[in-house]
Amino acid sequence: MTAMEDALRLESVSKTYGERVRVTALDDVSLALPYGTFTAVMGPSGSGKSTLLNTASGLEPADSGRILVGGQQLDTSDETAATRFRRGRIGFVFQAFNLLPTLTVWQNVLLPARIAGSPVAKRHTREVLDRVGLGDRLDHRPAELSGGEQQRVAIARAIVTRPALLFADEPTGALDSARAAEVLTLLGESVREFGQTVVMVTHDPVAAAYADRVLFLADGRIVDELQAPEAAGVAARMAAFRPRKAVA
Amino acid sequence: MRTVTFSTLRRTPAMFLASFLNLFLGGAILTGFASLYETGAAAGVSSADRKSMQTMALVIGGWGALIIAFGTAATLTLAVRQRERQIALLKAAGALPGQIRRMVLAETVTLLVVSAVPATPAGMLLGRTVLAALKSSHQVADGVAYRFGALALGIGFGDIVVAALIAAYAAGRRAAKQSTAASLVASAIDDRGLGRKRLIWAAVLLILGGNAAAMVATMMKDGGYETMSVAGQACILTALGLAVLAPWLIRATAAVLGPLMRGTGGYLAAAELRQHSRQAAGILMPVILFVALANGALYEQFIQDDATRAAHLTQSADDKGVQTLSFLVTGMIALFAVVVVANVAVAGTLHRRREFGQRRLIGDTPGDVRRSLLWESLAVLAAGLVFGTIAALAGVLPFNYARTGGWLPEQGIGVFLGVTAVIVVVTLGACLGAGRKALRTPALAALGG
Repeated sequence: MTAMEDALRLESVSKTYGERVRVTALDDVSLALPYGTFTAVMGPSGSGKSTLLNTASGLEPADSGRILVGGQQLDTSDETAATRFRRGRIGFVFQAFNLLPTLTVWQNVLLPARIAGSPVAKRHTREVLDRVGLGDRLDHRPAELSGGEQQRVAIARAIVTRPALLFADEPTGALDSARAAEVLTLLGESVREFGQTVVMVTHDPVAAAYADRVLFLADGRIVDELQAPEAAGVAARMAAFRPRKAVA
Repeated sequence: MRTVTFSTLRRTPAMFLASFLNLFLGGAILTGFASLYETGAAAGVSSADRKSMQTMALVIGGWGALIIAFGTAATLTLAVRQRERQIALLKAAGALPGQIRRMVLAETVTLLVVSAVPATPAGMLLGRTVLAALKSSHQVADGVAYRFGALALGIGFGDIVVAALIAAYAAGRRAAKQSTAASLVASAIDDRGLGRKRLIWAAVLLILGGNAAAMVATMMKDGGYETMSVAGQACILTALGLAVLAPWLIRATAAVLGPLMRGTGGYLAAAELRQHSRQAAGILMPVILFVALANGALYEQFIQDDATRAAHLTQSADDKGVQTLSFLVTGMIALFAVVVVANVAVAGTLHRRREFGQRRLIGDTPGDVRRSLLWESLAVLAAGLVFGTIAALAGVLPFNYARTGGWLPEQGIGVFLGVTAVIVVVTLGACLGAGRKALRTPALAALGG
């Protein structure tokens, strides 16, 4: 498998924090995620999940190793360079929906294209919004939407520019289980229908079961993985980590 | 709740330093002029001396009190609004509305006490300096002894205490009333219309301002310095009336300037001005007051000087003394207004870290964020200059008519350009400097706050 075929490729990426007390958040991590896959990243608190997401998306520079998004090496020389690199390549969905409160649904979804100065594909945007079930709420502002609706707008905003990679950080953390199921189904469909590549960080085995593959992180390393996971299996693996973590 | 109060005061020093600076400067200016009143009220002071000191104290203290009350209220209200999230979390943890109100009140009282300590000697120093200036310009006999006592403290701090407590009560009540769920929603939009109370206030202030302007041009046409002080009130009252309308003025400005604001930065800036008009209005209010006060006071003084020269060719020492005093006082109150502008602009911008973080994650570079802040600041400045100048003209035009018979002053636009330069530098410096600081927080970390 060559680098060109992977949406995301990490080669021996390490990252430590702290000056006096060194904490190794990522310890020589290598992984490759092909296009059109849905990967969940799980692990106990402090396992390096957030650091993995931050460094792989260029929000924080890694100490060593190479990161390739869509076959191109991530540029983290400064924030402007990193931002320009992310535009159109990386989309985000967070637990807190992070829509701009001053803009309508339609304006929020069009914003990334506007910011990047790329042509606005109105028909495609319309289709995506119809697809997430908000075609009739275009003129509403975030405060007028429920949490689940806001998260669907955030997903529409993230996938409308067809990024190589979509990072979702606990996307269902603030939603009830019915709303969470809708959002996860939507993420899964974006993979199968639009060929989107999704990396989701979560601590919820039920959420992880929507992915094609689950990576388990502990102490900054990938320690295990599951293909075509089921919630019970994921929960069992997670439970297996906890005693070890507690003893350590 | 007391633990929360004091840990808040300690943990957010910048915000409280801003409120402290406001209360300190306002307290010093007001006690300084109140001490002149007290000095004049002492036994053994001649009635002429009493009149000149007390008139000055009342005239300057009067509109100074309005501006300072306004600035204090604006700063404290902002300080509470910025903590909506903290307050929401306290409520979610079980704090009762009454406890929130008391917490805000306790913080305000602490600030008042802490700022009164250094403001008292500073006010004494100011009062002494003004008295010395009055003596050297022969407006007050050399033998008059300076007094600073209960009256100075009472009048001086009375104004600030009342303004601060009203602001704290209103802000605390609003914070306490808002539902916990609503206050946890990230910066909900601010589309409340202008309240009827606000409109009534604006109308009353504008009518009073117009009335003062009419008096200057008609009944007080031949008066001395009193005419000038009423012209000053015309400026200030009109400026306050317009300042009360600030949220509406911001929306009107966004509607007019929006199409001119280019690029994504301009687009987001226009949306921000329309939807979060109260945030921008907080900066616009003191800008209007500064522009109106500085232009009004300076032009009126120059018109007076030129009219005196035209009448008896030479300025007396007394005229010079009044001139010096007038500049001193204008300078002090202008300084106060500048501090309020800087405070509000810095605090308001730092408060937007989270929004900037969101924008950076969807593709705004730090430069893009700074450009849109520049657009917002320019729009606020444009509105402040237009409406501040209108308020200044409300005093300057009738005063010029009263002194010279013509409406338009002939003093040139040099002073106006100077005043404009000061406010442009302060506002842009505060907004963009704070923007730069807000952008130093990593984008993802900024989402957490």
